[in-house]
Amino acid sequence: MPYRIMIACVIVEVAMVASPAQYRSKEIRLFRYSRDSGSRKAKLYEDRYAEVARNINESLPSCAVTEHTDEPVYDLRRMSRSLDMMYNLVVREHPDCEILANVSSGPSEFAAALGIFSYLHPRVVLFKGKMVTYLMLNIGNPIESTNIARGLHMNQRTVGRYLAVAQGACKFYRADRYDLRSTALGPTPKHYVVDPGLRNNAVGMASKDRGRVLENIVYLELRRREYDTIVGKWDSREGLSRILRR
Amino acid sequence: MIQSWASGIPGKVCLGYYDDETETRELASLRAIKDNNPKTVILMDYSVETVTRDGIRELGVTDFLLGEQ
Repeated sequence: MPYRIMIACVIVEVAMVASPAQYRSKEIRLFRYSRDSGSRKAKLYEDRYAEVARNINESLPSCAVTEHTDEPVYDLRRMSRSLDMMYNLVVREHPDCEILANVSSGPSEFAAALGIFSYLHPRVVLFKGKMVTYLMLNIGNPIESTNIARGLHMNQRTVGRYLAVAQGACKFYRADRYDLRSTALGPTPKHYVVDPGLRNNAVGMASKDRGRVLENIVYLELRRREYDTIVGKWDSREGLSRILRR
Repeated sequence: MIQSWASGIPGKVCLGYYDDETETRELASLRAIKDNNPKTVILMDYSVETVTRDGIRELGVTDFLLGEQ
């Protein structure tokens, strides 16, 4: 098994910075940077970093955490240069290493630097959260947190939190499902991605689920026209939607 | 809000009718609703707007996106 190193950026907006328990990385390099050290904002970032480091230590005690505080994560050029230098040092030390880069963990400049980094070095693998990829693959499908938890070997409560964070981060819209006859709320809502381009990026253009993408587009258009849209079923028939103008 | 659903417009999205069986299946859920609300199916590969015998409007996705209603 190759020596796995994970790269991620700690910012307060991202809930899941690193998941070493899933990826079995031996080492995690966490980037964080604050422009004005000593300020209240810097303190917030420090606390967030401490929280992330503590979570990693709890879930995988043998994993070494290295902190990088000197590289400005919002500066694409300097970040790209720093990543290159880090890569050279790491490869010298571990010639068989594999580098996993969490592309969804930092600001857009950090993500762009990781993108360039992965193009230049074939050992670098970009990854996104498994949850997000799962949701992107299953847009327009009823999503049950117990099924996700079982499929991804995660805690059901954690899955619930992820779903809430994904909606709060404006990545997905949640459409509740109702029985249209009895007006009872169904247990499994559907999720639609806010931009099908995000889905293409996450799961690739080769995806053959044209029906789901079409459903997503129609849902977005109905939202744009300020309709309230619910997804419902009539008796045992699934897939009906009922729209209601605001 | 739940009470007001009765006045909502039922609709459905599907890729297309590739055979009679698919068409029957896709329209069955709308046919099951016995009310007078207009019902619409939005289809991917459909260029002409049509209405079925039982009043279900069939509309291409392009027309839907370009239209205002």
